[in-house]
Amino acid sequence: MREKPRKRSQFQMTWRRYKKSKLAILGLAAVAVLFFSALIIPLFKDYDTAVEQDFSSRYQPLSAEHIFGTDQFGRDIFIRMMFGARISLLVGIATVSASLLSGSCIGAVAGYYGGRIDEVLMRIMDVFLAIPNTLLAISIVAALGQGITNLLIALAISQVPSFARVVRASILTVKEQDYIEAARALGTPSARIIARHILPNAIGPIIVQTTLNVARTILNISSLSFVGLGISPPTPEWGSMLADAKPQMLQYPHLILIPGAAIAITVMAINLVGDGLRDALDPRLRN
Amino acid sequence: MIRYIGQRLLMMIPVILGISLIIFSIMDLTKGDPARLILGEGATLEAIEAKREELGLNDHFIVRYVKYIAGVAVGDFGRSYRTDAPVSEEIFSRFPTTFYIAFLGILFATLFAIPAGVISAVRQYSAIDVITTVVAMLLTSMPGFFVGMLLILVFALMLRIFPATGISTWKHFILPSLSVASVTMANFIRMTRSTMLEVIRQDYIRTARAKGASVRRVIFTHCLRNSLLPVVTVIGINFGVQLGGTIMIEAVFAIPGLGTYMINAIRQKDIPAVMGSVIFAAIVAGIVNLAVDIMYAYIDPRVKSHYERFTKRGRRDAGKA
Amino acid sequence: MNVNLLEIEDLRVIYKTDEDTIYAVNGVDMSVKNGETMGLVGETGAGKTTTALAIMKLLPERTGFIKSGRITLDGIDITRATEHEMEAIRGNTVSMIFQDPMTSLNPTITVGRQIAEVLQLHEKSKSSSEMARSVDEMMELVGIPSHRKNEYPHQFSGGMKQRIVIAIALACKPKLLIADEPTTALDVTIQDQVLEMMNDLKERLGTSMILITHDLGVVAQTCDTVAIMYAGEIIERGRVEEVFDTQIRHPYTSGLFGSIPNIKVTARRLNPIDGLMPDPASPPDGCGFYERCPKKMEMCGKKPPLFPTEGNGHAIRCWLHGDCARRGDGS
Repeated sequence: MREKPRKRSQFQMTWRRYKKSKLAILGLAAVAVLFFSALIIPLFKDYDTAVEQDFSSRYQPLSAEHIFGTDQFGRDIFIRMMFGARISLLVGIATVSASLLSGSCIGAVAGYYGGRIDEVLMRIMDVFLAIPNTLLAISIVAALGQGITNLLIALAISQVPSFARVVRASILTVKEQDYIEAARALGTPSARIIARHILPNAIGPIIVQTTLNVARTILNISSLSFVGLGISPPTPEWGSMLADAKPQMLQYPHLILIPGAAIAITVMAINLVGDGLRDALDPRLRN
Repeated sequence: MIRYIGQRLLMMIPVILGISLIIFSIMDLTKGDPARLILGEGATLEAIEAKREELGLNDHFIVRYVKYIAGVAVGDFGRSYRTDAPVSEEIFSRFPTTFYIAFLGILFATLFAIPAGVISAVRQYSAIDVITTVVAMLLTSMPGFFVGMLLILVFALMLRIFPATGISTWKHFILPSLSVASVTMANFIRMTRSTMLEVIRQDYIRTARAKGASVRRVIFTHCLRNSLLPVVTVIGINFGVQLGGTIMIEAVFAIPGLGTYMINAIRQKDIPAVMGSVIFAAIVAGIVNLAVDIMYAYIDPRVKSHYERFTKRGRRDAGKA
Repeated sequence: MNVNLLEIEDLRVIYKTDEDTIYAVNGVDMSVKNGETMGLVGETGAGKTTTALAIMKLLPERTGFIKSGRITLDGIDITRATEHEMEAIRGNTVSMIFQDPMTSLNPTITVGRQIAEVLQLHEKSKSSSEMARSVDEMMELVGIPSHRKNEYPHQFSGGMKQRIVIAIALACKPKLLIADEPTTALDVTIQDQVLEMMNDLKERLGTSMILITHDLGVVAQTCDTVAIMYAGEIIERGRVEEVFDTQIRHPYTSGLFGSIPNIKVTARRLNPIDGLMPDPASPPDGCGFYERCPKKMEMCGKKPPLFPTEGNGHAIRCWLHGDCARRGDGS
């Protein structure tokens, strides 16, 4: 009866608590700026300007024409950074959505039905978790071959277990709560229990895990590209840019500092949003 | 306790089997014929076919997998396709380097993170707390290999204190270990801080204060031990993650460790080498986790008595049989 | 020995949270004599525990503050004592037992060492063998075999844990023991045993006690005086026999008595008090009980009733009674 106003106020309360953390707001603003610029950059600059080499303008210093200067192939670093953001965010979000979807299904089935199904599914997830994340992703990339799609699949598979675990755990805790017992005792059908009571209450940890996984994926993309198993040059990817610039880093430190900072800022902004959301969604966890 | 350790080691077997099956399947999907890779582009079809037969590549997937596992069970990880040397030998010669780097990294991280986390929890909202939190946040957001590059830039290329690449003296270990430590350290700081804060809010801390114990005494005798318990587990779990993360660090510092070995093996489709290193890493991570769990029992009496019950029950069951 | 061991005058405690200020204790006056047991009764959120924590000066840091008032314990003004002075007082002059024995003991330290700690803190002159003997004595005193001192809290039942907590609290023979609902978390069958033991020990050691409870039966059984708290104020106090054997009561107290099932009287139904306590973030202008009071008058909503602070007799904070009634008529 009072469902509707409560829902709205729950969102408002979350937002009110979220607003309170300056760092979380800063993170949100940074993420918004990054998304926006990654979205609109193709309107101003052609993708080709980020890849075409121009040996007449190599290693140019920072200037009005090239805000961050140019790299060893004479390409504008600023434009490459922007297209890099596009790639990282795109692959990051696509990867996490894919693993969220499959991980949640596995976790929900295991958590809600329990018993033998739970046992088998979670044992399989445990085995996946026992393989270091990067290692698993590397072997999958090695098997499938390089390329953005394969990288996406590899990273997605390596993250499924973490989502399955979180979803299962939150469903289990919610399932045990007295109000679920009460709903069951009142004869509420289980589909309704899942939709009305379990999902809304399990959503918090899942949202937080999703945000933090996007950040981690962006780190993994750059790591894999750095060792030459992710996105390969000339595609403007931050990790491969770092690998390219490594031999000349003493002479041209900005060639590593800029992509490095780009990764750090992006990941940090997303982490700040994740932390802010965790605090706002579950005040009990707040320190 | 010994019985418990034995049971835990037995429980590792299905996990290792699972991992090997996953990696084996993945490597099986890999494009390219290992026989052709070994013999090179100029090889005749007959030679390739003979080599495939020799390597047992024409057998069914299951047959190959079972043969491989049977070999592993007696310590035979096969021979590398590239060098024809036994994989186990190659792994054993490279593993110590990787292990030292990962271990030193964890050690550095722990030594710095625990005091930092404790101080920042005790002085919550103070300047130290804010600074620690921001540093931790920054470190989690930077990929380890980038931290490694920064360390090379500053300490090797500019200040020339430590060597940039290779591994021979103790000096070579410092920068890679610090790079490994960076991400871990951030995790440990956050973990220590939050568990410490949680413990500070416990009722028994209030009881201790009600006895007339000073804040300092309460922190040292009551808080530390209880809040370090979860941190110990995280340290153990991180060791496995470290072995994965070391791959990138070894690439940055051009260190001939297990990580570099693995990456080269993957690039060149050297299936026995890949399988061997992954299984080996998983076994080491499992053993470290077990060691940490045992250590845990010594600090937490609740867990210890749980183990003792476990063992007693085991003995009873054995008696019945 | 008719001296007041503890005297609290106009104590006000607030909690400051991010959003608002909670007025938890609003002008409490009370006193406990040497050797006396006072029952502090009231529903959840009335401010009982806050008052107790204020006496211990263990209000949550950064949120809980003593806004005004004076707490004199054994001649020392606690509100002005430094943290260092408080460390010497806590566990020594005044001890506190908390509600939940399950969480009041440190899980990773043996119970023997937890009892010994309080002795180490306050009786530093004792040798370690004397200390060990005292620990054994305390354990036997609360009815736990002393050979179990090397065991950890999880190896004991709830009732036994509370006995250990009591042993810790009484180890230094404090002058005042504050017991915050010491039996609420225990099984009904064990509640009586623990209470009886506490009473017995208190008599033996000559300790005064503040027993926080919402169980009037327990008060009748163990206390000399009783104070009833409501919305951060004491609304009625007096000797137990006066408060229990009279019809002149605060309407809230009557409500409390009314909500106890009585097997002797065949009441058709119980009479719980309707409504909730006023929001402590915005206390009302008049009487705190106004909203729920069955006997409210117009003036109750406007002016807070007065409370006779002098004398040790039966006092009621209500416009219907005593001085209040007279002064209210006169105005």
